Amino acid sequence: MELVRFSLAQRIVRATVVAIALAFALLPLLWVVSIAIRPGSQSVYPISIIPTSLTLDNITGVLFGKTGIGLGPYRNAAFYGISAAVITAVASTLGGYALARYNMRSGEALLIVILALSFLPSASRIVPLFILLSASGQYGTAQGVILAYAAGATPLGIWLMAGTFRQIPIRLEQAARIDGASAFLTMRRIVLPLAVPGILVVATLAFIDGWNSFSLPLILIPKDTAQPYTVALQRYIQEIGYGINWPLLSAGSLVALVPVLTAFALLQRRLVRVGGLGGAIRG
Amino acid sequence: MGQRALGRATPWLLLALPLLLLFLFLLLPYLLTFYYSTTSATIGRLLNVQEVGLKNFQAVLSSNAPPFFSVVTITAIFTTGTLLGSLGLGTGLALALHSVSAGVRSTLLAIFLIPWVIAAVIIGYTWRLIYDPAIGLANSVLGAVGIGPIDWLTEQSLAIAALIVANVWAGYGIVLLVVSGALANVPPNIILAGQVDGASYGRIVRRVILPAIRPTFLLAALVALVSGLNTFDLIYAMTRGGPLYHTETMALEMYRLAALKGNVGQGASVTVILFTISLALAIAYVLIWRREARKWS
Repeated sequence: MELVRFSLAQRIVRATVVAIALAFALLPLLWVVSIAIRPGSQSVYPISIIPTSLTLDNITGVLFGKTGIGLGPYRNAAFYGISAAVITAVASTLGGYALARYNMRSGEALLIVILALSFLPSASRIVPLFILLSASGQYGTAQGVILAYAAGATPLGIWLMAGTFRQIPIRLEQAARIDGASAFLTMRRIVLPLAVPGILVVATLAFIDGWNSFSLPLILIPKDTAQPYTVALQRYIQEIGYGINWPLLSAGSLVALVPVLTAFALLQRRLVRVGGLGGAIRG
Repeated sequence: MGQRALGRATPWLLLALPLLLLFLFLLLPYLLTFYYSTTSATIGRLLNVQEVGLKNFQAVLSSNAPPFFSVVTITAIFTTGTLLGSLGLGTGLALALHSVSAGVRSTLLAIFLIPWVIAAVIIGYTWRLIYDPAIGLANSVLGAVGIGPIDWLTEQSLAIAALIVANVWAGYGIVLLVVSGALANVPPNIILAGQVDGASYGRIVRRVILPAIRPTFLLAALVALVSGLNTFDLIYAMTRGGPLYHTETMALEMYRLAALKGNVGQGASVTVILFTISLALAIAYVLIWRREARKWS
């Protein structure tokens, strides 16, 4: 059912606004696709808007070419993303449960401090983390960067998980305990299964953050065998020298999008549902 | 005694791991930064550093290449543009989608959220390609209607405007997501009541819908503001602050000082300035949020 009844003129205006916005949202990506799948000889001025012949050479070139970046950085990015997702999910579940179920005197204050922490944006963490990891001998290691991303995603995660646990009736837990189940069994059989949708959202957001990471590994991971895809791609386009090879860079960008868009497609309905409160705080 | 003490300790045991993580990798780095901003630390020398008081801040504020005032001005223009653009586009789209049927809405919402999940550095490459003088979409479209090629990322005001458009593309999604969530929670009755009273749609939006989503709207505004202030990846990929520092924001300045020049002390002092502004905004948000929450509960 439509909430507001519009006149014909109003409908036309609304359709036009949405169409222009769709063009703004999608045309840049379609342009990247169109450059990525046309032969290099067609990516010169004056350029035709629709490519006249198609090729996969750019995509195979950036990945497997003689100077290509290979699959290593792709694996690294997956490792960063998945590790950040697992650590964030565990920490957020523990913290969210504690804040949702125990009436702690300092609980509300803690939740507000955690909310404020989630506002500390990643750019202003570059120098601090460089100092911390260098001073503690963790400079150049993957675990330092992963823990940094997990810590960045955990405040929002705790906030979301506290909301998720609050929606699970406490009577379910009490009933299980009265029937003789241990605290651990109650957690595993009753509470966690019901919290899975929330945990998946938290883990997906952290995965996307970890996969997309750029500024921290750019500075904190000098060794190219441990660099994630985003950093390897930028080094690659720098190395191929004069000007930018747009067909290869477009192909490389396209390849980078596959995992995040897949994760997003699988989870988007859930994401949108918790969006009102969830996406809210992700800076 | 045992059972009870254990009961009271349980939440803290559960919180130990997350709080340790947050302390070590979120709070401690900032504390170190405050300390290092008063030292002469360099990239090669982080231990046994010399305390220099406020000298780093003096050096940063009185720097000439680029003048700090111009960095702050560029940051302010870029942030304000991003804020207004994301807020306007995100809220406008959320309102437009609010009035269509649920099935169409969730499909359109998913499409409009695509830019939100893309890495900022990839978004930077994407828009740099759009603005490319020779093979960019922008000039191709303009060329089709007879306007000659424009060098988008060279002249200062044009380059800043071009960066703002790219950053709005990156940032409107979060506003759309949050405001859509809030619109779904506006009681339909108060909108229907407005219609029965014969109010125009524009009037219903201004007088009924927007006031009802005010707390969320403020939250979205703050998120857009802080993320605009801290944009790094996108500008790095598009212009690296150039040409000639014309698009150098505070986020790039602190990277340049600390990582490229190796002057960790000065980089830390820019971080402290940026951090303080962000923190002030976050505190302002929490205060507003609590006041609004009280009003609505």
